[in-house]
Amino acid sequence: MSVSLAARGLVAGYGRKRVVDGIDLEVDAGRILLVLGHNGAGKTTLARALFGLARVAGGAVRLGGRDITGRSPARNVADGFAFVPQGHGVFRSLSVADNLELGGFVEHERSRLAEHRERVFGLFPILAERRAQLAGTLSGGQQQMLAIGIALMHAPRLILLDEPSIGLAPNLVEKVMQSVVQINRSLGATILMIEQNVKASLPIAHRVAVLKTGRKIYDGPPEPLADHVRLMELF
Amino acid sequence: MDYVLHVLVMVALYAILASSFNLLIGYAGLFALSHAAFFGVGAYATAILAAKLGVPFPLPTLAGIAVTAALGIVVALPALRIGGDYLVIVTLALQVVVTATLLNWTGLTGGTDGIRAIPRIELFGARLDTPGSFLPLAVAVAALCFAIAWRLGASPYGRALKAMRENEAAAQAVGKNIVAMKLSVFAIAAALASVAGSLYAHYVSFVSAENFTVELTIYLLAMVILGGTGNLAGSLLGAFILAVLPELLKFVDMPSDVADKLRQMLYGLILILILRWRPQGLLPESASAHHYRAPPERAPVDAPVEAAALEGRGLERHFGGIAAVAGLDLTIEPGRITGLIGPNGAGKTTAFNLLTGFLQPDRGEVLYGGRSLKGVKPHRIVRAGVGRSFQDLKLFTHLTVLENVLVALPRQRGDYLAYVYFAPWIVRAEERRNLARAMAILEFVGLGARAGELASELSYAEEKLLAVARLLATGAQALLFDEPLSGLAPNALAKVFPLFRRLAASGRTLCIIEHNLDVIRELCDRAVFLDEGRKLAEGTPEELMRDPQLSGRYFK
Amino acid sequence: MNGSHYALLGLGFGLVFGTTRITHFAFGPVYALSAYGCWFATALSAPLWLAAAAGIATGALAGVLSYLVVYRPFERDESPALVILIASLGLFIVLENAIGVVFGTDTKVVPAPPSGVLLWGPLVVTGAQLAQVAALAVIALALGLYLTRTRFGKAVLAMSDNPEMARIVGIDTLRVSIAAFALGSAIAAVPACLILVKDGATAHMGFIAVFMAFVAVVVGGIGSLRGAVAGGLALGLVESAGMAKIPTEWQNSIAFVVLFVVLLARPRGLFGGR
Repeated sequence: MSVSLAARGLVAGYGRKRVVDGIDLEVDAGRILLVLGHNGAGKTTLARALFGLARVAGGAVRLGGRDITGRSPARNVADGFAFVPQGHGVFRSLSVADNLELGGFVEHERSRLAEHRERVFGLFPILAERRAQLAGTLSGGQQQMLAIGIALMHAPRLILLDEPSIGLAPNLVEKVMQSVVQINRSLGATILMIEQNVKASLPIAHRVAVLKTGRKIYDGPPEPLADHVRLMELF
Repeated sequence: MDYVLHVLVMVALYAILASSFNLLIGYAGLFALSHAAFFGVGAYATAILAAKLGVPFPLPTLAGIAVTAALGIVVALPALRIGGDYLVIVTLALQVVVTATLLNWTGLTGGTDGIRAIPRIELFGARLDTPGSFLPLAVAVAALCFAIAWRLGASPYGRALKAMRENEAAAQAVGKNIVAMKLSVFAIAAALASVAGSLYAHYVSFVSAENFTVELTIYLLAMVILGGTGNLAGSLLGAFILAVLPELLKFVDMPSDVADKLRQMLYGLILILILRWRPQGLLPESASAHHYRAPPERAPVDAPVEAAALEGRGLERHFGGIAAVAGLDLTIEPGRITGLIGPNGAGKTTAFNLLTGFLQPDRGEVLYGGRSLKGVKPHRIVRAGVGRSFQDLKLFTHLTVLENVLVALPRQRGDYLAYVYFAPWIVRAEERRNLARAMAILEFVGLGARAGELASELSYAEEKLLAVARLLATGAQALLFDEPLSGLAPNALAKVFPLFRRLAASGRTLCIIEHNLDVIRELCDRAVFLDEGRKLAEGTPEELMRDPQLSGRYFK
Repeated sequence: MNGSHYALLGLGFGLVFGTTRITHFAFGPVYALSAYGCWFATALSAPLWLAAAAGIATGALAGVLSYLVVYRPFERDESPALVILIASLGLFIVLENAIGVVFGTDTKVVPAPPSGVLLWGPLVVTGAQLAQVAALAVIALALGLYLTRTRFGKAVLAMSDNPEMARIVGIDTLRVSIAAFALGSAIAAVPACLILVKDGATAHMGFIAVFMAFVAVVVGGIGSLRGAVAGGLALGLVESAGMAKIPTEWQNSIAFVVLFVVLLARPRGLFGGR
């Protein structure tokens, strides 16, 4: 099950600052859109504005064609829109199992939870091994896997990930990227992934958008960007 | 009539208390809930010395000041290391301890009975034992205390206090000794409160611990908030309103203890309502410098200077088990702009922190002009000539643009209370010179027209310029900018580039961290590539960016 | 035995503070209000157990109303934490005096139920003290089970751990905040009623209660409920240890000393992580 996401003329920021300054974005149902940009380009603000965590000052966001601009995160989650925030979004003082259960908080059919959990364990066997362990004691890579697992617990149609590779060693980054691809294929979820790590994320993207100082400066296929010199020009 | 005079006397006392409290919580941002304790200690000191030991006025008052100031410093000590919630609970705890001491050390304080029959003050042969006779003294002393508080608030020291309140790290980065400021403001606020206490003891002729409880502190808090934190005239206003208003309840017929409680409920209610509907209080915060129409100084801001090289040798710094900086050798030469680039987590900001004293290296040395900066505190390093800006700017948002720059100017004698009170003419002359200099700096970065605006009113680009101006103002010749231009649109960048070039041309030692490679290409004569806490390469920006290995690392 | 009293206070306050990040000074008068509610019920000839329930209900209601009427508007405005703290001080004053106005300033007492005295080795334990400790054990256990085993309980823990992540998984933070206030106030109501029976209730009893609760939470580490309980027990222990040497009136000051020492040595508290 998947759904499309579109933003038109999105404006968001803090106080007077327009960190996101009129951005158009689109990801088709079931595809993977990669959003690149340097620090301060507005990527995280963009993610938060899309999901309802940051105030939208202008423009619109549509999920599967329906307007969801500024809708609360709770309603987005209930509608199948999940967010994996930057920096290991986990509940550190709770166990892995509890973390996952909380991920499925809005899932009203409790029986489905077991099914979702099994899928997460299938994707990340290490979490199954450590299901009773406190999330805060997991390694960085394991926490990131848990963060992704949390998002999967309500079988979302669209997953927004904010720099999932940050702070991870290269082999773990590879693992994260592979999981994203698997999720996209098996669950059919649409993926919007924000990343700084161009090398690892470019190969899995169907489409790429590059942001610079709050505006979009590239939107198209990933191939032309494989040339790093070209990329340096853009950055 | 006597009754009205009595209310006025109380207003005078509250004025002293509210304005001194405002210095602590409004100006310095130190939320210390122990003011009633200071008031009480002053009152009891007077009571004990005057009533029990027969010491004549004004000696008990002076002794009270000394004791309370010392107490103020004791309270300040935890404030040096902790803040916010923790300071609240510690000062609240102090309040409890003082009340308990006053209640229980019966031998000294008379315990729950308090101390009675405190002798009245005799001035010029008259015994001040009625509200009418006491009022002139009360008003005179209140005026004096208020003047002391006012002078402090309006001085460069007061401005530095506010800067500390806005952002401690930035205040240190512009050379302010925040430890000394915290200790001194606590001592003064406590001393002023103690004067009020002393007067109170002589006026009412009776002290008892139940007058100096946390409820009183909350009452004072309401006065300060109502009047406007950061505005001393507001504290006067707040004191007046909250002392007079509940007296109107006297016109309603009810038993006095109920009236008392209703009065307190009124304060509490006013406090909540003010916070909700007008948290800045009745009067806005007063800016300390209004003469922003002062003509700019003639000597150009980018006059040539003899800057030196800033070196880091073998720098190492670990956090937990991770090495943020692992053997870094870096030399930043004067007269040009060196760029520091590298992927996220490469250790660039940590390197800056090490070079400017915000972090101490586990190993290695930092040298400026050959002199070691080891162990030197951040506010001293800036005086030694090395300054830095912050990635998240850390502007003093509730100060004006002009004040942001003024507070950063070096070697201000107005930062020392001795000069503020005992050589005000020197401070005044210095202020005039500094105003001209500050305006010149603002003109240099193009913010001259915005001098009188609050920093919070600036646009994103203007904020970046203010951060540059503030760093320039410190007089440091080695300037380290952490992402000074990130997020700026190309046309804004084009306007700012000449600034940096002129600074480099003047001989200063410049280093900038930037992610925006356009900026690095445009500005930097030299660039250093950092990754995993080490210098990987050094050369011109073109050389570095053409290297496929490096660009591979940059984009990981 | 005072330790269990403080532990319960710390637990209640810690629950509210940890979950909502609000420094709820009005916790004190709400605690006092619970005692008064209990007393009022006995004045209406209710049996003690029913009066206690009334007290708990009063406390929970007062706590929730404090949140909805006073704190929530500030929360919605995204006011800084310090502003909410000052507002809670205002609320403290209003409630404390309101109690005085409505109920008068005399100490309200309740006839104590007959309680035995146990001799346990060298210790003499009264029924009241036993009730305290039992209350702590039961409540701590029940709360622990609730928080760790039920769906909503885990939501409370989640919000306490990471409020933003709680929003991200779709938890309704308003409901959780209300629950935190209700539970926290209810928990504090238990020692309130016990004190009512033991010493009687006064309008001012709230101040020392919230003060001790705050100290217990800070000492134990902000954000840790176990820490709050440990902090409270530690306070009680230090007080009892000092009881022999130091006259009763000074004992509150011991709390200050403990606080000072702990904060200087470990600014995060004994269990703190935040």
